[in-house]
Amino acid sequence: MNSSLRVKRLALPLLLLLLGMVGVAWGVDGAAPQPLRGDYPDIGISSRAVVWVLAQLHLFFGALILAVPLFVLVIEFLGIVTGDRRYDDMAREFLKISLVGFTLTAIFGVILTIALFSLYPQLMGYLARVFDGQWIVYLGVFLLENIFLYAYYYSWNRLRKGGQKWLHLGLGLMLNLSGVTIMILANAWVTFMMAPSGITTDGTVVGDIWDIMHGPLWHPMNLHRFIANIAFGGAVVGAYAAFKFLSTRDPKLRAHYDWMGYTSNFIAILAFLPLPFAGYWLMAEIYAYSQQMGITAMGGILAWLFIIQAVLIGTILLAGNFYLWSGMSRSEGATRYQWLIKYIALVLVAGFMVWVTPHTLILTAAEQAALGGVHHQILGPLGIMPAKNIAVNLMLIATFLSFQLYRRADKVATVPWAGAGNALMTAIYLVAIANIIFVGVYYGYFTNTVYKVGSSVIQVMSTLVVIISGIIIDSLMFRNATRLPSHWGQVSDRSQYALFALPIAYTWLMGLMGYVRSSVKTHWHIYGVMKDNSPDNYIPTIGYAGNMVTLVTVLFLLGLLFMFWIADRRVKS
Amino acid sequence: MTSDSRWIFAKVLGFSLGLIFLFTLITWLPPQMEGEAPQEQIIELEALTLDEFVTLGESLFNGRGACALCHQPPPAGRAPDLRNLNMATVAAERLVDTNYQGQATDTTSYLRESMLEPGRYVAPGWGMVGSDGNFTSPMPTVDKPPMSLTPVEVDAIIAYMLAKDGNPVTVLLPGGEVQ
Repeated sequence: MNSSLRVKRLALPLLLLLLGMVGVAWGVDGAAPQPLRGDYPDIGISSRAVVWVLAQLHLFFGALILAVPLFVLVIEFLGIVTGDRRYDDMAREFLKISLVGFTLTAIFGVILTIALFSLYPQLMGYLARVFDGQWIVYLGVFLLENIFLYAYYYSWNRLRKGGQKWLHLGLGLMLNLSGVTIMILANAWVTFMMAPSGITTDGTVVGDIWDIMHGPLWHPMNLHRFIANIAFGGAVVGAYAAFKFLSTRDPKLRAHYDWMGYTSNFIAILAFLPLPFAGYWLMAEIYAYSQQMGITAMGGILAWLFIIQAVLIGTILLAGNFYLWSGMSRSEGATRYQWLIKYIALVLVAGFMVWVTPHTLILTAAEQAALGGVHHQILGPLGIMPAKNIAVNLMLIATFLSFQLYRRADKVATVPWAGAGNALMTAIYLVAIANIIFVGVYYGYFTNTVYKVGSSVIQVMSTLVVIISGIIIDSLMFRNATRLPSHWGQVSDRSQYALFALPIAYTWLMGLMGYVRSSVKTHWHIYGVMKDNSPDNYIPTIGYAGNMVTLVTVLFLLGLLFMFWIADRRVKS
Repeated sequence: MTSDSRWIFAKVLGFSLGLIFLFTLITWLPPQMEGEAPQEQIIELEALTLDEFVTLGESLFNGRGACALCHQPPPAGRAPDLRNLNMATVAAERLVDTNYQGQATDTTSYLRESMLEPGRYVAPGWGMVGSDGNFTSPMPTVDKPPMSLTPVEVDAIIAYMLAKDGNPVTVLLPGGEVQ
């Protein structure tokens, strides 16, 4: 049978099934359904595992195609402002890489929808009823996104010159607006399940669609995912550039892909720096909504998972920093700053060690008896949040310092106040570090919970002051600076492996945190409203979650290879 | 693809898979625990003895009631460590505290009020700043979702709170028996 005919024959019944389910759901009004164990279809394997894999793949590719067009737009804009054609070429190459990602996202989205409606019909029927016709808006925006994508990509050469370039940029803006709209619509469904709003305690809808979407976790989730997607997208295209760099001996191509890898890493690290703070806001809102939910995540059964998270973020920071330090070899002026690298590395390693120190130690009965408990006298205090807050803030400051030194490496400031500017910058670093340590130790260990939580805000502000003032001071101080020779392409092959470590760690981290986000609902489909009575209504072990995340990461990796292969063929043709 | 590219591809793939499997390995190092959903239990309330009622209260405190999530020893605790406090003594102090705004008159009614209307009294040092700048209680109301404890279950927790320190249990048993 002709394959397209086969697809058409399959598509119609599936569509009818879907519409039928939605129709049945809309026909029912009032409270949320409370399905019993027998109401869930039994397909012989875990329904949760099926949805887990499909949802995560959809999310990975979705995150990628949301992020890449965003920085394509920014790079194209830079190309217009600077008049440097290389920016324009690189922006187009980035977009070319992500094109297949749109198709893959759509394919996984359709399969996920079918799986959800088939395996969790009561839940999906209820959600479809609560969100009324929003899924039509979702499909409409998705259609618009595709129209803008193809218009943006295929008009690149035609609209390259003069004022037409701005029209082209406008298309890119529309593409991004539709992409972000899709993300925030989908987030509303997810956050409704975690912290429902606009309904009564039995699930009867009492608010309008805005009340339902506008739950307490919606904005924090939107911000967190938006920033995380940019970091993730930057890391993935960085890996593409690194592979291309390693695969060629042509100095011109190596210079091009070195620059492309550097730009991607620049985006990934810059987006990553504020990410913990967005995560902090999300977690604070979770606590504010439900202490029980917050503690389930941070202090309950999922607490160990944050040690795994520390390993992953530690990998990201170490790889990101290592790439920056290696990249300094491109510039002859970098020798001025190399003595600082060992101290930055020391802070990173020490911070990493504190972060991975667990509060409760895994001990044998004999060890526990010898220690007099599961909390070590010296290591115990390092296992709680105040110590980890100090560690993570210092690690972020150290990473920003690497970033700042890298940016300064090929420049010599010519402004007369350069000495004073450096002194001011040093003072800001020292005061911020002292503040982070003092506030963390004093309020974290010598006062009660109210101040303990509040102190982390001061620490976050200190880190942000360093980052923002660093950017402002450097942009003023290095205006009209003398440029030192920089040699793109002259970087070690080993440094490129950092660009592979980054997307792997990001992907794995996203998968792991997705598991946390979903698990904090415990045995609820919709927290406090609709119970999950399926056979999978328990939180699986961290090891099982690790296996699942690995499975999804490997599948995503295969998808990426396919995407890169297609992009490569396009470049060659 | 040239043989050079193939070799680089193999190295990159090996590096990536190695890193992925390292992360997986680490997830198997911590204790492997499953978070079971609370099981529906059928209990013949009429036949419960005091000891069984107290045991029910203890299991609710540590399980479905989710009390032990916050009420645990420092530094992990986010609320008074009830298991290490004599609640009869605590209640007596609270009832005469000038900040107390509730209607309870004895230990039992104070404990019940603390669970059903936790905002009536915020334990010093354990409140959170509300939108009006005053301290409010972060404790959820236990008879509402997600806990949804029944009046009998609330009484069982009160019985456990009193019995654990040897105080007389003054709540009615579900069978109606007065201790």
